[in-house]
Amino acid sequence: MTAPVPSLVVTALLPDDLLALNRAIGIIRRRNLEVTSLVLGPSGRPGLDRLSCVIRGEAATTERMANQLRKMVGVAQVLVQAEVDCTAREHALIRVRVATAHLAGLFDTIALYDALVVDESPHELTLEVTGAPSLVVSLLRALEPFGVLETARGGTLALSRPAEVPAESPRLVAATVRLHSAITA
Amino acid sequence: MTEPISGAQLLCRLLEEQGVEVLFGYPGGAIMPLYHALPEFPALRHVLVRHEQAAAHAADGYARASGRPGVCVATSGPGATNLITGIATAQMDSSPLVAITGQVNRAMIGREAFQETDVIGITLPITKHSVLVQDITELAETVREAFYIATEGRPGPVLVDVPKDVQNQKIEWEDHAGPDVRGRTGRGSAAAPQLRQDDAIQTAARLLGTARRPLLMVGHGVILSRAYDEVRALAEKTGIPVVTTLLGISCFPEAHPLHLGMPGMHGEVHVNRAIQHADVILAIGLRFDDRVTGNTTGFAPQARIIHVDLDPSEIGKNVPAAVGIVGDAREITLRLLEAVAPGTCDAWREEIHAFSRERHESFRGEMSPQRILSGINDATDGRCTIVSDVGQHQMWVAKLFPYQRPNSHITSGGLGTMGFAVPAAMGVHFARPDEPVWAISGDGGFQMNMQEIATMVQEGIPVKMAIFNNGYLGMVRQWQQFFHGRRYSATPIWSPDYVKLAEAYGIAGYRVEQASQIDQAVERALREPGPALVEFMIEQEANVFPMIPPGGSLSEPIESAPAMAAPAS
Repeated sequence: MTAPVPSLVVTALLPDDLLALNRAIGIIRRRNLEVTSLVLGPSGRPGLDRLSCVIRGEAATTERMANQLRKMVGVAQVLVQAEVDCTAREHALIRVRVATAHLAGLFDTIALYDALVVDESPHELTLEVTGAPSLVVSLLRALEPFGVLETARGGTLALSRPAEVPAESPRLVAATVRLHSAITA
Repeated sequence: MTEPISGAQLLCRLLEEQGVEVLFGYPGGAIMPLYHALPEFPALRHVLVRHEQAAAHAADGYARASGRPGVCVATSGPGATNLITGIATAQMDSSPLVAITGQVNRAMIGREAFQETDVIGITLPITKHSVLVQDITELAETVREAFYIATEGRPGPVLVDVPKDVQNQKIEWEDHAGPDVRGRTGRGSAAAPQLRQDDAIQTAARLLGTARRPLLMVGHGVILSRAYDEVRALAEKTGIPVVTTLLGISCFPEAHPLHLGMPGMHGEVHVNRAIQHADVILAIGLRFDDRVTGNTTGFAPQARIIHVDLDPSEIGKNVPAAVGIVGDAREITLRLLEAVAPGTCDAWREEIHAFSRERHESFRGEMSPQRILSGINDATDGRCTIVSDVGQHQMWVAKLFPYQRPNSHITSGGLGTMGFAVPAAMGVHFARPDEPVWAISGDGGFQMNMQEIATMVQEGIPVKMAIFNNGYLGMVRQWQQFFHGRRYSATPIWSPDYVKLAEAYGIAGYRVEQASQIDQAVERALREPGPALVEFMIEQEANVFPMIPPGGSLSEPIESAPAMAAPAS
């Protein structure tokens, strides 16, 4: 059996103009890599945007692509990391159908995932959730039986983790345990 | 002192400031302001080409021969798109090129205006950098940055797209030297820390010291950094034999006892065998192109590779490197030279010598490429630059001409651009006005850009053109013969009467059908004050030997034509 293709998080600080974004995306596309998430936003450093990108591909190919990104004029930093080595979070909005018969189950699910109800109508709710990408996927799966009408996912944002913190921080571990026990209960 | 000047005038001043002496270009609507300003700047010699592709190749040829950025100019739309092949050629071979294109007025951008194309978008994958100048206030910094980026680190093409109304904008220009642009072009990867580099050099020196069958492979990087003396000194101190890649040819004297030849698809058997038997390969300024390595899994199976390259992304890209050293070829070679112990490799060199094969006489008749090339060499006493095109003749020119002077061989390696030789040779002439420049093409490649004879005539460019005419697109025909059951699909190619063509352009033209005519024709072409053309009628179905089949291993050369090649699958 072949090993599963790894997902790697590539973050890059790019000049904050569309041409730089265009150039960077071209470099990723030319390597024929599968991109599962792509987010661009201000980096907090003047003139630089942060591109966070999740790539499913061989580590060596991804690293070669990153080397090409590093050569781009004006690029300040390019990191390739496994998801566990960075703080990766995603933000999503989900419109879900409301049926009186399943109201209790729906609200249990919302509470379990720390989701917020940000809009409502008699027949549907709009939920907001923030968390690790796997949590968003898990919530979507949990909501599927109620009827998911529309989804807007923000893509994976990522920052390197401070080197001295272990890969699984106590707070994250606690949250995972809580989630796991609730699901299996 | 300030005075209002136009964007076009400012652009010309900036080109002068950058030391530009020649522009290759073609005017048109969106670049007219620049052409209006040009006559005010007589130091900027403009060469009117017949097709913008030739402008890009000529600028590339100038850059390769001079080491300074070559400049080409085109209008928007078709002018800009015609540059593409030339820009891509420069990108693949790391040649410093600055391409200046006109663009439609800013207000018209994105509205499918007349002769509008998104040339920045089109050239993104084939430029080192590109900029659309949004306002005249950005022009000076942009142009200075373009020249800096084109030559900094690993050289490459930079495109500057200037809207027509920006060329017409006025600015109160205060003449002053520009601010240092270097800070703004910083890259994502910092240069390798000095300590790590020192370590790597020591490791490399130790590895070379223990090697019993070491090889030195040198490429274009040695020419780009002019590391000729350093490489030669390193080879002579250690006795390590030297292999030169296609773009590295002429960086090491062909006749030197340590010189082995060119590796790869058409490399000599003993060169490829040496690679396959080597235990340590010191590779300087090359990128292990697939035409060099063949199938990478079978490449140099016993060798630990020390890879020296200016571009960190090249190290480990195509073949694994035991030691990677990021840096300028000259500087690193010099430091390696200090670090290595002197030695000889006599036993190993004898072993390599024993790999040599008697070459099958691959030519019927007397008009062999070797004889033609020795005619050119003898007539010029080796003091000329050879610019080759792409195909069979390119391999003969690479392997059979006895290059003695650095950077006297120029060709399109990475992109393999047919039609390169004639226009590129025009550019070489401006870098080396005092020596003969020979553009050697096949009958296919010559017909791709032969319109440039008119440019040579109008501009007085005395390039000597040699055509190896075999009536075929020979390299493709050879592949058809070997791998496609001799089905010569679309490879027979008709040529005009080149002597009459030369006559039509008003230049000297000679046809050579017998070896006894070679020397006289070459001499007469050289004596012509202007351009001249010599057509050599060579054997129609000659092949380039040896040949590693595409995707094959360097250990399995084809050394003679298959009796009856298997039909194509």
